[in-house]
Amino acid sequence: MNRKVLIEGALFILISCLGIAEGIRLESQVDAQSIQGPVGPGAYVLFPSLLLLITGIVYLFRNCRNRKTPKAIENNAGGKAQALGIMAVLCLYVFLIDVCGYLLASVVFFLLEFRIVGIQSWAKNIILTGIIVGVYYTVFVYFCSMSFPRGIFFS
Amino acid sequence: MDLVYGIINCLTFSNLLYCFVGCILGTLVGVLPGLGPASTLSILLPLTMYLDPTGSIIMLSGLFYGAMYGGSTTSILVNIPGEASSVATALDGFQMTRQGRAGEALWISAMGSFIAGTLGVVALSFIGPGMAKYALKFGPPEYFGLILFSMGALINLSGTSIAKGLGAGLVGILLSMVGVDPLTGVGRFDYGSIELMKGFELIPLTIGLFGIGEILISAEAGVGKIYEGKLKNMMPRGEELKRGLVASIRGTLVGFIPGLLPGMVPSLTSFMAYDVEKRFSKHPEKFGTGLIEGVAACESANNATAQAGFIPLMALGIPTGPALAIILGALMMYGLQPGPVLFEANKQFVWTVIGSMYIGNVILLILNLPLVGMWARISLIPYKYLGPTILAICVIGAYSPRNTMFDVWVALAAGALGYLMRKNQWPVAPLILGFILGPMLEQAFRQSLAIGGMGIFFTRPIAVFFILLTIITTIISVRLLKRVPKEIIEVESEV
Repeated sequence: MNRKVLIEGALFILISCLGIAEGIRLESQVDAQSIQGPVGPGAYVLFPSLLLLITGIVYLFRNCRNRKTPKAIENNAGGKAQALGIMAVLCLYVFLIDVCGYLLASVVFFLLEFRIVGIQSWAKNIILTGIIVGVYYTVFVYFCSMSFPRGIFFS
Repeated sequence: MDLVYGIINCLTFSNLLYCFVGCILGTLVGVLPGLGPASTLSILLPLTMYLDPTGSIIMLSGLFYGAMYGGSTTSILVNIPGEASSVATALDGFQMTRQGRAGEALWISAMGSFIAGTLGVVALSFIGPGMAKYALKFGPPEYFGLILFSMGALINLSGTSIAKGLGAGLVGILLSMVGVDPLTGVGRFDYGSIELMKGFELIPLTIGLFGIGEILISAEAGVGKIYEGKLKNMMPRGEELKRGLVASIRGTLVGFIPGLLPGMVPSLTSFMAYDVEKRFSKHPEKFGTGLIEGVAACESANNATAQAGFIPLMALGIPTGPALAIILGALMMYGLQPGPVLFEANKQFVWTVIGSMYIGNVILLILNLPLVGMWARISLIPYKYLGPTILAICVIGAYSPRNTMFDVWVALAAGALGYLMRKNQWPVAPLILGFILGPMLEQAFRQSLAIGGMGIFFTRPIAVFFILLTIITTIISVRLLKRVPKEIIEVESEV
């Protein structure tokens, strides 16, 4: 059995175990005097979890003899690094929104993100960032009154 | 005759302007991922209080069904569904773009939306109250049967492995259970967290799985532009046009009839239509590779559902979805009580609004066909400019439903999940379908048991019909999938 299939099957089983554990927990907390209906919350969680467990076992069983690695999207090391960089900056952006507010976080985000995707010129980077952040702020915060966090420094 | 007067009434400058503004806003809302009609309607509602009731409802309605048109544009061009109802459109629409057929995809999407929208309004005009009364016969067991039938689509959306599709769907159902039990109020999968107790929202999940996931995949693949070709050959021709139009009509029927029922939102019926189209097709294995029917059916269904939703809203005062609930709120704020009385006591208002829908569909056809180039320019912008811009919009879109950063983190996590799923050829669509259908299925199932135990599913004819239909069509689908060479089906799982 190839490693990829093993990991996928294991994930199936892990998620199903979480569901089963939750279902058992809910069933054990059933209050006999409260109105639960014929199917309590625990039983309803258990059913898809058990189905997922069976699906995972069937998946592993059917693929256990297949030693070939299924075709995946070709790995491009440089591209992969860029994708990871984009994701990392995105996570930083979301974190910074809470810390310094939407406006400042957006400026940092675009400056870094444009750099990662390949805009080498800082002048172009700054101009683009200014325009896009300005437009977004005007449309979403000013006109649409979306209330983003102001950050710990400005709240 | 009332309809004629209604259309004439709508042709005043002010009503036309409100209709136009509503349609433009609706298209824009549809194009932007995350900004759904419900959230935009709720933002606009206070502003429309300054307008007269007719103008206000015309604009709000235009925004609602306009979003159904606009949502397909980014689904097709950049594989980022603008609305949940356009998720199914991306399955084949984006593949058509990759093959240089973005123009045809956009054309059939707009035309299918127009056909469905117009036929829907015709039905609203002539059979409104009569159709709505049958919806009262649908109780929880019937809903359960209908949703179970929709679940059968999980099999068809599975790609190479039914186990993967079923697994993804079940994970989607489990994700939908995070939060609070709908009948008893106990926390599920919350692990003591207040945020988890609120559950996951659909919009951040779809934005992450499709939007952020797509950008990460494109970045890794080194995409220079999303679409390099020109938008030539807008109109499909010959056999392809015929297939597209037939699929539009079928999608309209699939979207319209369930659309009369509460809970049947456009996102659900678009998947149903896709599934039905696949079952009717001589080449079901080609779905997901860029078939025009895959685009036409979904878009027609979601528009038909949007229009159909106005029938129970106006005839019975029952909103079939969150956006229509806001429109109901607007009606009540103006002192207009929906129901049979509305058609009699406020005839001019009702028929003017209905008349505006005819005009609105024409406006939307113009916005989305000849002017689609304006929206399509998005696809010609180099990806290095577009990618970060779209990511920032995804963040805004994920934040907007509940104004909480937790949803944005959910979108990020979903983005990582979507990226990994697509890299390893796991189908994403069943996960979303399971997430959407899970709560509805649960509620219908448990309410049915509370009414009459398990036996109720065998004694209610409509429920029995749908359950048998599910079993039969699932068996047929599994057998058909086994016959198709795996190499062909592999492409389907790349959403």
